[in-house]
Amino acid sequence: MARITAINKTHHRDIKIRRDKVEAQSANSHMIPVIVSELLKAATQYPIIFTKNRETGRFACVALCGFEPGENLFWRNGEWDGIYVPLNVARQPFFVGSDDANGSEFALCIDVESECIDRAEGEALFDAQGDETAYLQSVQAVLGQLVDGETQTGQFIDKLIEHDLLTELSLDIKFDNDDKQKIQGIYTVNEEKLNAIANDALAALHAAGYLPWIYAMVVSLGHIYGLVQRKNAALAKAQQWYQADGEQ
Amino acid sequence: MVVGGGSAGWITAGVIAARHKSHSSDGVKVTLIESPNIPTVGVGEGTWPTMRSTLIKLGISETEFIRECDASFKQGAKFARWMDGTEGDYYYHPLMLPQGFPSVDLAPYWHKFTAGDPDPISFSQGVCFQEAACDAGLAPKLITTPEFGSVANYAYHLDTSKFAPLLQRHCTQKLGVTHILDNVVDVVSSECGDISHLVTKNSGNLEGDLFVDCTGFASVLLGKHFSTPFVDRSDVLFIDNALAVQVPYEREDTPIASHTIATAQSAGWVWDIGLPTRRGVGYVYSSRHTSEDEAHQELRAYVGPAIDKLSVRKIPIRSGHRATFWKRNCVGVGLSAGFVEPLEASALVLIELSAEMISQQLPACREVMDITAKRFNDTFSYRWDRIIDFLKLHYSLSKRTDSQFWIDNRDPATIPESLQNQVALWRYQSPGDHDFTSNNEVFPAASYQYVLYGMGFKTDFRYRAHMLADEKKAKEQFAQNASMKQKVLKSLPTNRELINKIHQHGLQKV
Repeated sequence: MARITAINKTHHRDIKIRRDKVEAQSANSHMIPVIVSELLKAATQYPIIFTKNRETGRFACVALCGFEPGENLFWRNGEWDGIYVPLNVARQPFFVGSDDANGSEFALCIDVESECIDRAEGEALFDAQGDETAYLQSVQAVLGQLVDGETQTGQFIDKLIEHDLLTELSLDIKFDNDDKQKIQGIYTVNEEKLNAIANDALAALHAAGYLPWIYAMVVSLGHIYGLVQRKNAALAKAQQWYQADGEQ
Repeated sequence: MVVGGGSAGWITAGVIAARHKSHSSDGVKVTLIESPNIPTVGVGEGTWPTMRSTLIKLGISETEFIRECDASFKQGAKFARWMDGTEGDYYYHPLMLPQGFPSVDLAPYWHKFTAGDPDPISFSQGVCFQEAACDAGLAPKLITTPEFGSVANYAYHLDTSKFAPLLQRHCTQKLGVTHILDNVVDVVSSECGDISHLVTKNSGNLEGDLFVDCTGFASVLLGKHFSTPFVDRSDVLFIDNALAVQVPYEREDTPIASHTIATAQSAGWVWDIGLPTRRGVGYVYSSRHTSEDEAHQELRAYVGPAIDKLSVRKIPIRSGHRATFWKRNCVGVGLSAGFVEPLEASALVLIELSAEMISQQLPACREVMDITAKRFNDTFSYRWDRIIDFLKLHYSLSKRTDSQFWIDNRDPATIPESLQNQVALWRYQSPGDHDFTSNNEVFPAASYQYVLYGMGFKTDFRYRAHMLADEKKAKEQFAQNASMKQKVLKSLPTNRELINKIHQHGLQKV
């Protein structure tokens, strides 16, 4: 279970972060939230889609990494098999929370139960003098980027909703082992409506710098085929194991 | 020219304006005139699922509607104490069709499988999962379900006094309806007998090609000006008064019932409609069978002593409708056309159906208007008859003997022949689409099944062996319903939770 607390010099002086274990924290996430400032990079490899938050119904922008909860097809052979690692993967085990004790709006928090935390090996957060290490400063920079990015991403989504540009994508996928899966709850930009958009609305999207993101999302849907391939490869591997086991 | 600005006026104006593009220069011009000092009657806080398509047609967002009209979800009605008046006497009329209906009719199989069972599953529980969702106070959808989308079919409970202002704003700002606040002081006919114009206090003479009378019980155009006869139906439906009260919730998080509760009393029944901020409760009764004081006592017994601090409003009800609804160049919609007790929430749906037919068949010119008028009159005479039959069915099947009201309701002299004939047939076959062959049906065959079998009516399928030919398929359907029941009970939020979330986050359009 995660236990998230605000980082402070006294309590967290002696802990170290095993960077080699960071990406494993997302090994079971089939959707990774993505912010717009990293969207172009992420879109080179992941299908970037919208999904609805279960609790609020609001749209979130995510990289699709698997076809069902618990499945991350970019986690292979014990490592992250991707050129670009989304910020929300790389930031583990840190979070942004509100620090009520200090009255500040945002506070850098850590999951103290995370497997990345070690006493002996890894990156320290504070040096012998109790000052922040360069590592902790880089973590703060990433988290700062994520906080800003969430706001920008929210604005981007609101604009797409305003222009009625979102549409549900229903996927019927058949894998090599003949398993069929119906994927629901995935949303993307409606290309037909985008092509028919009025000039002034188009100009507004352009002025806001949204067009590259919109088209990147449209193109990134092609990576769903890549994801199917990854799934088929994983299934084939599982099949091998099963057969090897059966022959013993 | 729409006269009157309640729900009827604004829905009719909006539906016509939306279809006929009143906001553009070549569209049909729609004007609504309403008096600044006539209050609207807040009747019919329950709707049918048709309201969803009406809102879509008008282009009103569901989130906005729910937030502004203090609306909540309605998945059907629970009828308590209608059969024998005892404590455990109730049945449901859910808004979803029976499982597999109409391609499979489970009614004969339900009869067969429950025969001889001392504690049989009720018809509505056996063929529909919605009763279980209602009992658990669940919403018909999730926060991730888009606007107007559903997991289970639904309608709304709403505060109609807040609905008219929302419609007004939408109609005037988005749909191009012209709004005039003024009093009509005279209605002037042309030589041929059509209405030529309305004389107003401050806005001069208002001419129009078609006048829609939405003036409520006053029925200024259809009733007063044209003296269209009123067909009194109190010989069939005895209710002639209502005592209405708004009951606050004890706590902010008190569950909101996601169905209308109709509890039978000695001389009528009590409606109980849960809105997010309060309950609307009222006793509709027959003054021929009880006094106002006695009725108040019965209502007090239902609501509790808290009623002593609340204001109870008395509303007279005259069951019946105009003999014609469309006369010359004037058509009545809403209370000006007629009214019956709110037993199956027929008030708003009749407005929606009228608005839809007027807008769809809006006469191109005066020469063809009489043809459209005749069609409209035939259609709505039929619809009123079917509604009256269906409401009477609830009373005529009761076995209550505790008061003269219930005994009188079973007197064949008070039951329309059309209903007597239907019920006679249903002794040997279940209600099906073959019983309702008109394009203008109001209630589907499934509704009759829910009420008939909910009230303990038994059909003898001896001469209908073919209706029991595929037991395997029937069992599959029953099993599917049972599994859906488990699924929705696990996944749906409570009505209150979902309403709160919609107020906080809104529903998405897709």
